[in-house]
Amino acid sequence: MQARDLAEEFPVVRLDDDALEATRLMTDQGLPGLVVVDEHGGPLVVLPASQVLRFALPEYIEEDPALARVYGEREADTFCKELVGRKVRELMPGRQYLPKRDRDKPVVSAAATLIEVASVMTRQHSPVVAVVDDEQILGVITVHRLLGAALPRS
Amino acid sequence: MNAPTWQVALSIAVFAGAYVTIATEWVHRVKAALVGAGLMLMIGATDGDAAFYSEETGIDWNVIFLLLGMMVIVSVVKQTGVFEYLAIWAAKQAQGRPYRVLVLLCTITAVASAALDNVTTVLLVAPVTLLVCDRIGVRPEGFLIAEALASNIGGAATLIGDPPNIIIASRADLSFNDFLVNMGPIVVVLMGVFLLLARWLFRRSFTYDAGRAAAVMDLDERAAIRDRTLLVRCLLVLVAVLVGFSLHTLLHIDPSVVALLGAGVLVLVSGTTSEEFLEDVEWETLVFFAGLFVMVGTLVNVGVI
Repeated sequence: MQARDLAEEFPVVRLDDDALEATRLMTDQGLPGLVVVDEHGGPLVVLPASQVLRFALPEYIEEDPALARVYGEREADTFCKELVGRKVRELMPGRQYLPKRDRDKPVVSAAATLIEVASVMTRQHSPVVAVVDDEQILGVITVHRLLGAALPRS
Repeated sequence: MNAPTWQVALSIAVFAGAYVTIATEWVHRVKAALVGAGLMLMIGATDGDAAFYSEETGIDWNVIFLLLGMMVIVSVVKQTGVFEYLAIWAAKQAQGRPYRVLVLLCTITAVASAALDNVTTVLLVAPVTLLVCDRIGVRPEGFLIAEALASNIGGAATLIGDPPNIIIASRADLSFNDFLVNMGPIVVVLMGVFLLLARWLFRRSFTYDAGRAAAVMDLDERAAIRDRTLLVRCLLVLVAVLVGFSLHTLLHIDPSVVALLGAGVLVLVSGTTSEEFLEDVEWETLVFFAGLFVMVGTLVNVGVI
């Protein structure tokens, strides 16, 4: 099986899209992440849901997890308000997050085998990879879809 | 030791080189101290006996192990969440009013710094300060700078408050009580003056929204305590260690031994793993001091000091 056989339609977002809308897209469609494309429509990076959480969570809680417990239920329910008025690019701390080299992009060729797809996912810590043919996105493969196809038949 | 002139000159050059390198941060301070110590041994201005077995001309292991013991104690105390509890409790007592919050947080920092290492204390108080400032809706920079200053002031009060104090006390043969009696009163006065000055120094940090300040009252400080039993054990050991320090003239037990005993007991009763109780040990600081001791000891050895 090749990556093209598993690729499915998937929404993409741009760096200047609204962060809240992008996150809503993720939650409404139950996606593990979103492919972020550059100005030419080429895949740039994957924004995983975990990164959205990391952005929304105050840094001091990451530093000292005990502080998460001191919030009241009402306050805790609204921790995602940090996303309001933000752009997708703000969710990803630029220099650390955006790939410096082409091989760091969460991309596989249409002819890639499942083990190549798995390798890119683990290397990039990405739950989604874009399948590209002739610089055009054919679709994406999610980690669930990959595992579903690769698991041995019982 | 009657060292030849060239050895004396080289020792001074090595020390001055390391000093300039450390002050200008050209290379990491630990690297500079270790290379400097190595060079002192290489040129023969000191030897293994003088560097490792003499308190006068080498590493003062009392200082190193006192620091190590206190760092282990802090690592375990940190697991209890007591710092988070105190800081949030203070913010609630101040009803979220920024200047009052600053006064209470600085007081907690200063008192904790007198019993524990300064850097560690600030690192423990900083995240909860950010949380409180976020809740009140004020910029945290002024609060953090004030805490760093309060930590330095408070740390000056006791022998264990700051590494230089430990070294001074060890070299001048001062006891814990000598330090506390002589430094304590002036530190209290200094803190008072500092807190009054802070009202003006950090005035820009005190503009706040009363509505948001009320959000501080919703925080539950008791939830910050992770393990009440561990907290009680930690406090008992910490008090015992402080009593041990203050009874030095009576018991003649070195502060380093008291700190190591306290650390050992705490490790045993806390059930923490080695990763946990060594988490806050600043190995870099310990190695840095060891290197410095060898360099300064060499200058003593060749008669420069």
